[in-house]
Amino acid sequence: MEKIRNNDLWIEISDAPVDAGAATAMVGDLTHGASTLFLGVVRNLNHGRPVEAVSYEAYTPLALGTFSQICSEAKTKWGPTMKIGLIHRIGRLQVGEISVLIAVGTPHRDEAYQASRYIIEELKTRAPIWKKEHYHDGESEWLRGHALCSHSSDPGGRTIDSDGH
Amino acid sequence: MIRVRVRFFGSLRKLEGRGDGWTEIPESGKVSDLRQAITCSLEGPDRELLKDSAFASESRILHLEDFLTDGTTVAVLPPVCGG
Repeated sequence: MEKIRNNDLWIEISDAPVDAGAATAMVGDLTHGASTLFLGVVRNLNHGRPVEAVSYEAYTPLALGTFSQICSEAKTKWGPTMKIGLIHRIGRLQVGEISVLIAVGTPHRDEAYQASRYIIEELKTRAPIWKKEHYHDGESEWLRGHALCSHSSDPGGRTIDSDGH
Repeated sequence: MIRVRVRFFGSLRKLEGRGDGWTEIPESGKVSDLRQAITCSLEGPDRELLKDSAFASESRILHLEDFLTDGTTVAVLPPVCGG
C-alpha cells in the first residue's frame, strides 16, 4: 500500500479491499454538516460483454502526486476546511468489488457533492491508472482511455536527472 | 550516447524489460529523441499507441523538449482510464 495522510487528506493506492467505513470516518468533523461517499464498483457488463473481473494497474508515485494535486484543487475551489479520503485499488478485482472510493466532508452539502464529482472526473482523465477487463469467454482487453499528453502545459526545456527531477 | 531506462504501463506493459530495459539516445537528448528511438523499435498497433502516450518521471508528465541525462528512468504512459 502507498499512501499520503495528514489531518485533511487520506490518499491510498492499495491492493487490499477498501474499508469504506474507515475512510468515511476519516472525513468526519464536528464543524461539518455534510459528507458524501462515492464508490466506483466493478460491474458485470461493458458494452454488452459479460465481465468477470477487472485488473487495475497504476504508476503509483505519479498517481499519488496526481491525486494530491486534484484534492488540492478541490479544496481551493470549495473550501479549505474540506476533508477528503481517496482510495484506488490495484490488482485483480472481481465483479462487485470497490475500485475507487471518494469520501468528502464539508460544512455544507453543496460543496461536498461538487468536490466529489470534480475529483472522480479529474481522476479518470489525469491519473496514470489503467484497467484490463477479463471476460467470461476467457479473453482480456486493456480499455482505451484519455491521453495524458494534452494535460501538460509545461513549456519544456528542463533537464531531467537520474532521480527523475 | 546516454542510456535511459524505459518503463511501460497499461497496454504497453508487454514491452517492459525488452532488451535490457534501456534505450540509447544522443548526448543532450530530449524526450522527443527518446520517443523517436522507441517509435523506430515498434510496429503496428504499439507504434500507433505510442503516438497517444505521455512520458513521465515519478513526479510529473514530461515535455517533449525536456532534456534527459544518463541513467534517467522514464515511464511511457498510454491513455489512462482509472476509476
